[in-house]
Amino acid sequence: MKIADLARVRDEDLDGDVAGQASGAGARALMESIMETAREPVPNRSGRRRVMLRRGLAFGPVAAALAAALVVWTPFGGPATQYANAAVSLKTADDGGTGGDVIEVEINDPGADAGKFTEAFRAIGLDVEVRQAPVAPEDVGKLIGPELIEGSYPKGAGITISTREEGCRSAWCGKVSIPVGVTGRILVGIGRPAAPGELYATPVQIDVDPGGGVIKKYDPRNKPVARVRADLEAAGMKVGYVVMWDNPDGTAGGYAVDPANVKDEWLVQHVERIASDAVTVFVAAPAGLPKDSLPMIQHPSPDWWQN
Amino acid sequence: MGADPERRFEELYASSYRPLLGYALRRCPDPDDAADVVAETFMVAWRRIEEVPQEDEARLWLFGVARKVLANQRRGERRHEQRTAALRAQLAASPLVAELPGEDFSQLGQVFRSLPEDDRELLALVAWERLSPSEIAKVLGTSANVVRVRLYRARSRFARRLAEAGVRHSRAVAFEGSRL
Repeated sequence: MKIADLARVRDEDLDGDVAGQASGAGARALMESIMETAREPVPNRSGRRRVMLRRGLAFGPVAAALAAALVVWTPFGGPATQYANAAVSLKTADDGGTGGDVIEVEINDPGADAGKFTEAFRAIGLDVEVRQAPVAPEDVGKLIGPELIEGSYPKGAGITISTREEGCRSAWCGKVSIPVGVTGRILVGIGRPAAPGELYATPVQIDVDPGGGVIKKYDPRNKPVARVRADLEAAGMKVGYVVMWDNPDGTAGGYAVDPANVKDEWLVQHVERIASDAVTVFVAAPAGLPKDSLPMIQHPSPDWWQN
Repeated sequence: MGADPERRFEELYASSYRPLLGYALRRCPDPDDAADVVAETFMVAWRRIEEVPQEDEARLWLFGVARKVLANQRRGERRHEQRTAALRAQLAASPLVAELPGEDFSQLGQVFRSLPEDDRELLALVAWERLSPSEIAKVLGTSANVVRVRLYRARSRFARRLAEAGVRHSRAVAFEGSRL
């Protein structure tokens, strides 16, 4: 007898059983149920200088993705499992296996004093600081971040957020999960209207009317840089560029470059609005342009979480 | 990659459902708990689909997540989510799953269960999941060299305990199908 014989079931046995088929009714129902849930990761702000993207990643409005359940690590012993004040309602819950708990968040009054938010998070055992964060109009009142300051995540873990729109009667509903063992300060933003020209805490999708202003359904993808630039500048936008190179494994990576190094005929991948008057245009590096061969520059980045 | 998140997840689900279910059933006495492990693991994969590696490494990534889900279960977390209702019903209707044997009370089984949990899982990843040290390293988030050292120690402890129990172990610690 061997250790292999101690296995209660073998994969080969499951091969011949309907329970082992991904196409079985139960398995299909589970998959469809999972895919009905929101699925938006937190953007990686610390990697702002170099942008790593998965090919095919959908760039929906980042704001709609931001938010909700803070998985709680409770070193304090016996914190409340739920807490509500005029600013926010918080409740601890289970997470989907990321190694910690989750906090369900409903923002009652995004304009409330930040101290009220901090008070609520601390009441349920989470030592976070809450600040107002400048955002695009569509993100006002939403949860932004969280940002991790001077700390690190356990290997392979990270913060995830999800937004719940169905049944949400507050300014914002959702979940934020924070893995057990995270170190450092956690800072959460509540979206406030950004001042003209002020950098958004989180970029949003660009929809530009070539006649001026911003509209829905403007699609810059696969258009030449010169065309998109003309459209954006006609809308009063300042334009910055990130050039992206494809990697053999299907990912892509790039960084900010000087406009003088971006050719008119290169093709645009997508555009993000980073302030009321500024955008970042992501451009595909043309075939033959050696990877990382352009001089890197630094774009300004939001600093709402910094002292 | 090129696939959108939905298509990527569907492909991942199709290719990994069976090995993940097997992984969970081998570690959960209750098939309902195994269904929850499958559900919660795939939920994490859905949320983080951009982080899931390609091809066979995706399976290893899922095993790594499932380990954490199982650890949560062992800490007392139990939840039978509504989303697993159909899967639980399917498992209950399966003669194979419904009639899974209970704990193995052979001497080998008893000695195996007496090992530290880390040793057990390491040996199970080799003997049950048939993973190589470098594959186990990806599941555990460590290096292949560390896995080799830990495997050596786990096998030594197992052999020692078998000897103490009077079990001839010349073949008992052989890993059928493994790439050790």
